[in-house]
Amino acid sequence: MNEFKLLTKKDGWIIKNHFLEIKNNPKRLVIYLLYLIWIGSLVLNVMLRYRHPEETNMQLGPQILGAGFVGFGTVFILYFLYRGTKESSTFFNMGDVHLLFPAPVSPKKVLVYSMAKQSLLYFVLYGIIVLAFMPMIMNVAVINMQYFPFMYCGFIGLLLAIEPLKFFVFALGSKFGVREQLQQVILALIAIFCLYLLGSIISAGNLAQGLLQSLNASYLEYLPVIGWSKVAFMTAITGYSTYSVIALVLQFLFIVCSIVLSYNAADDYYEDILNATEKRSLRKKRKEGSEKAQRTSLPFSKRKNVNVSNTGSGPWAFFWRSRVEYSRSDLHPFLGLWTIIFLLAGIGIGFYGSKQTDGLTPLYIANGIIAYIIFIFSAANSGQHELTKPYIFLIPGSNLLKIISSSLTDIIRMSLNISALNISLGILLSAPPLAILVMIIFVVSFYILNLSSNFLIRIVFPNALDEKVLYPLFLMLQILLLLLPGIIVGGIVGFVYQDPLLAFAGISIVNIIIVGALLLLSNAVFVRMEWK
Amino acid sequence: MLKIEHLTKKYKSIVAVDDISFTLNQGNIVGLLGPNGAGKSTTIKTIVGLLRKTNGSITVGGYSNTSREAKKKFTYVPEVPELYDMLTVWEHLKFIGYAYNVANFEEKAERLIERYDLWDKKDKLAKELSKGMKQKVSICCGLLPEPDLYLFDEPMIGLDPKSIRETKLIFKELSKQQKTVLISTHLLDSIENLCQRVLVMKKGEIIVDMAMEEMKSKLGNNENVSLEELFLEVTKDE
Repeated sequence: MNEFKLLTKKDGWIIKNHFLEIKNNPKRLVIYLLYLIWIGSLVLNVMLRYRHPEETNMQLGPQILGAGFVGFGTVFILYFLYRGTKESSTFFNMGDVHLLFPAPVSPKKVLVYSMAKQSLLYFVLYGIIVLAFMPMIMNVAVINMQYFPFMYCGFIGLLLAIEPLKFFVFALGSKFGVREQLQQVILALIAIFCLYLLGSIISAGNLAQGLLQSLNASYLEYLPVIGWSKVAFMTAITGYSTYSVIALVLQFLFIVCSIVLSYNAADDYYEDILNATEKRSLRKKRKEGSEKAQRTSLPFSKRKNVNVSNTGSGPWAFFWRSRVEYSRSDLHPFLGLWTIIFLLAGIGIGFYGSKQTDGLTPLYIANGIIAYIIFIFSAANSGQHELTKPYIFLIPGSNLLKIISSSLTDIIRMSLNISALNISLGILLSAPPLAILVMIIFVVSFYILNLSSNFLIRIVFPNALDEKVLYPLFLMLQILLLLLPGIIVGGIVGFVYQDPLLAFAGISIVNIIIVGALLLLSNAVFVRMEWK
Repeated sequence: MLKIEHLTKKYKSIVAVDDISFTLNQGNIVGLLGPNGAGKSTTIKTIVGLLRKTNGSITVGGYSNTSREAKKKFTYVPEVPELYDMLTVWEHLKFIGYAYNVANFEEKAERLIERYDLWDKKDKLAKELSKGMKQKVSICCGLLPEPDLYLFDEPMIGLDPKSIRETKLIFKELSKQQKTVLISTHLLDSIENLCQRVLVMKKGEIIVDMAMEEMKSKLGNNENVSLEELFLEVTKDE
């Protein structure tokens, strides 16, 4: 059978099976419907915004967008090119590695088919990013919807160029043994870019003006990939010209060329993509909760030998294990890269906030945002992964202690990180110590509530629903339900006393009461839990 | 059928396979043994073409191992069965049938899935199968093209006793059909009466390459000497 026909047939079966799966298990539609609603809300937002162009803040808007596109695009491309000297892109899964690669099928044809398939898929999927950014873009610039396809293709054209380029760089590096030379070329490009920006800033005498001028320079529009895609992207904002079409065509020709070059460079690429394919497969398993996420706070320095003192027997072994893991992957069992980031964020927000306002608003906003982020990422945390391992069920001891012990390191780390942020922020804002303490307790109580609620979801939805699909959704719903009492009480207290600090204190107290109740229920919850 | 000359495989500075040479003739059933980390899987993956050789040459039926002509002559059953999650058992066999241009593949595939008790799982997606079931599908995929050379990396891991027996029977049938089989395994008793020859690897090198009978005679010609004892004897640290 023709090789392309064989690959198309295989993908045809896969698509058919996806539809059959939905047919046999209609509850999966719920998650797709939620995605559709989300995309629909983005489109609606864009349409509503489009009808009110008078609300657009046009001053410098197009310039900021153009500069942002070139700036982020360049960083993005250079980063992925550099990554390409160390690890290849992959367009494959482990099924391909074990079944397709040993088969008498041309590796080149497999590659070109897979690249084209992925490009087509991304062409549609990345559209969601464009839609998500649209309201923000329309806030600063008027878009001519007639040229929206240019904007879409310009943005997607930049993203589509990345993977084939990355693959090509790796193939070149391994085929001709020039990986180090390629790295040097890319580092030189990064240095040139930085020097260019620095020179422009110095000559303009102003950071913002220098960046805007340098990144919007007309000669950059002739640069391959970045320049061409920027011209196409900006067509809907700055207007159409003949060069818009030329740039767009050049951009897509570039993508086709990089696929063709990869095709020619790739005689013997199976080993090159093995590592990336295995990592991709592992990431997929982690997403499904069947593999524990590694703690990679400091991926550049993983110590092999760590010495962590005994933390006690029985359930306290979990506390010891998590300390060992953090000792190996971070600066310290309880302090790490995030502590530094929180500290710097506290200093930055405090410095900026103290100039803008006299009150404690920056303190409240910063902690509110962190609580929101914790909520958003509640679908994947360490407590959940512990339940995918058998040890929490097997190790003898009190269930209450097991829950506490398995989460204790994370709680201590979060407490220290939040303290670093709030103490630095509080000092710079001249906040009273009580306010700082309340904010620390607020975020930490939120975090503990998030951790402890994981145990409950396993009981509420043991088998009735497809966990892989709906688990994150229900986890968020559950946290929302657990949060409501705190928000209601905090809201009332804050409204009555007209004091936001009392509102945060109210939420914290209710959160602590709920966490206490959940922990006391832990014995009853635990005996009903199953290891899956 | 399979000729390996001075094969070396390095991962940066680590030598996983160190200048090994051996030949498998038609009809040979050969056990590739060795302790963990000896280089068995690396050797097999390099023969298959999943890994690039650092030095040496590998030919299958006279063709370079990565050529399409060579790939028509062998199949590979990996240690960990990784299938396409969203293909059914039957679709996996169809895919292999098309990829290797197997004549009458439906008839052959039906026979295989019956032998491995997969008939009722025929329309199940791979992601719904247990590890043992996936291994059975992987073995069926390896057997379906009926090539001249079979490369098995730990084929018995995760199989139930009936499937282990069936696999042993299949190895015997392949031997009768003058097929060449290279089996890497730690389950020594499972290949004890099948292999005519064993290759023992240690630290990337082949330390023993001899016929079973020859090996037994070297160790005292005792009828009661098992492959396990022979293995432990030759791999023990000096």
